[in-house]
Amino acid sequence: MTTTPYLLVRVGERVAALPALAVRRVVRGARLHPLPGAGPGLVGLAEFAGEPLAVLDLAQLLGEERRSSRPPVTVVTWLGSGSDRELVGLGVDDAIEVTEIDAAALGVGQALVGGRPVLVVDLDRLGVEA
Amino acid sequence: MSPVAGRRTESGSLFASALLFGGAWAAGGWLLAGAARGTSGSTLLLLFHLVAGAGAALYLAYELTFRTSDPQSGLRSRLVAVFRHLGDGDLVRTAALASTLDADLASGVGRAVAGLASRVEQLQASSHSVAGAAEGVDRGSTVLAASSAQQAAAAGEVTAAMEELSRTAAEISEHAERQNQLVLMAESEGAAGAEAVAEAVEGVGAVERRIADVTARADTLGTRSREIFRVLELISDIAQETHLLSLNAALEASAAGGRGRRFAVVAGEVRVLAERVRDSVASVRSQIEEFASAIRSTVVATEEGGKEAARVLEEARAATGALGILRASLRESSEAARQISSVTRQQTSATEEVLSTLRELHQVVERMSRDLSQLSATSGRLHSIGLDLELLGQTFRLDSARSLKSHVHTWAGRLPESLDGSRAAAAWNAQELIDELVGGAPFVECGCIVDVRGKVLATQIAHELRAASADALQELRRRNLADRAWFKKALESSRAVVTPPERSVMSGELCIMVAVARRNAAGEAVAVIEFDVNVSHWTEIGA
Repeated sequence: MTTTPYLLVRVGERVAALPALAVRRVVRGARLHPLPGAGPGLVGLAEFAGEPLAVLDLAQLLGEERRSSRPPVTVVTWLGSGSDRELVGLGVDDAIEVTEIDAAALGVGQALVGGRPVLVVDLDRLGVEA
Repeated sequence: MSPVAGRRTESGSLFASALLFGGAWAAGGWLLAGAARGTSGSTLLLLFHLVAGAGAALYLAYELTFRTSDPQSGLRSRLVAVFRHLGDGDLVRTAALASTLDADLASGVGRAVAGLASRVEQLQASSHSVAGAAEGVDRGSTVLAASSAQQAAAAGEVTAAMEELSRTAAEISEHAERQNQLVLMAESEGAAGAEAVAEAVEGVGAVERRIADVTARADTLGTRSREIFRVLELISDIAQETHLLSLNAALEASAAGGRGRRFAVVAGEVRVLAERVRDSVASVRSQIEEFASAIRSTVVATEEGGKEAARVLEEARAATGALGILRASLRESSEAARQISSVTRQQTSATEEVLSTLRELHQVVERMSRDLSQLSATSGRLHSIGLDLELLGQTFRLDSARSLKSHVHTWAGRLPESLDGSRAAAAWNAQELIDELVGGAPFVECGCIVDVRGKVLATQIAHELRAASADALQELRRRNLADRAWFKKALESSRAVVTPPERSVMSGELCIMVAVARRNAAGEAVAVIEFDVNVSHWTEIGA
């Protein structure tokens, strides 16, 4: 049986699964600096390990409507692969746990964890698949 | 009539009387002889009586005619006539006849008659004075008696009113005393009430202090709850940080692959522990929130209780003030009732004194009223005595305006000596004469002229009675008065007649009748004139 670790996060009313190997750190209460003229998916800039970090709103990337003004928890993760990959922050409502998901349980952009459906986010495509 | 003619007339009448006496003796003998008819001595008895009667008649005729016709016996007969007139009270005829006597006798008799007339006039004047005074006293005493009776009645009413006032004052005093007692009882109850209210105020104050204590403790609990919340927040933050640390540890374990698996397990346990802490914090927070809510409710309820207690306390204090005012008012009312009772008792005492005086006054006025009534009765009797004296005086005929007999003789003298066709009778008007008589004498109520058969020739009544007595006057004109006592006496006597008082059919008051017959030269009556004198106005006679 082949399993892959995923970080489960809450985005609004939904639970999403981020590949745990791409995630560098989970931080709470990061200081965000909003950018003038930024798009709806960009919450602002934060500082991580002495470097500026763009923080994206995962809810808006997944087509969800954000309830709070800004996401309280930021997941620092690699987007893309190879030399194109870059470190970004994904704003979520909460980080739940790190869990192993069986490959057999993985569907297209979706998996069952504990009997509940979760969204599986493909970080390499810089997009979100519902 | 001349004295000579009078003597002849007297001699003739005496001679005729002697003959009548002899004739009567003879007739008696005749009757006795008749009664003894059939007996042997009847004729002899008849002859004896005839002879004896004739002899007695001749002797008496001689004695009466010739013995009395001498100068000595004529003087005696005139003296007898003078004294007979004097005895009848006719002083006018007595004086007239006395003037025919010898000069000495005429002078003596004249002085005696004048003295007697003077005494009678004095008697009448005195009776007038007595009657006038008695009438004045009677009127005054009657008015005074009526006034004193009114005063007695008024005094009686005032006494009754004062007695009622006294009773009312006594009732007021009694009511005031009862009110005072009631007020004292109310004041006592008010004192007990004030004490109870003071205790209630004290109790409510204690409750208020307890409520304030509870409020302070609730505030303390609220403060402690907030501190607990802050600790919970801190624990919650630590739990979240622990959770994040466990997540990051798990991520690192995942990146370590197979070597990090055991670390991942520890990280998972730490995460679970952090979640349990978070859940526990949430549970504690929920309970603390319920506790805080209960404290807030307690604080709110306590504050409302405190407000209610403050309101009750305020009302109790207001009630204490009102009770104080009420007790003060009750004390004033009690004092006023005591004063009313005292003043009313004084008034009752004063009223009793006034009542005593009024009762004495009432008795005095009643006694005065009785005395005045007796005085009125006495003056009435005095008036009656005056009237009796007047009537006694009126039995004399005087040559005076006060003499009713003189009045009636004067008026009778204006009647003619004959009523049957003589010239004097034709010129004479009976109604004019009687109108003049009644109109000129205020003491005359009614007057009339009657012929010898009792037929009324003329009559009139006093002016003030005409309206009310017109029918009675007409009835009098139609009536025959031959059966009246004064008419019979006037026809029998040559002197005026005065009757005792009778009740008048005209005025209903007492009247005396004065009448005299008008006679011709032969001494025959041709008419009778009469008038009624109202004794109520008798003092106006001759006025």
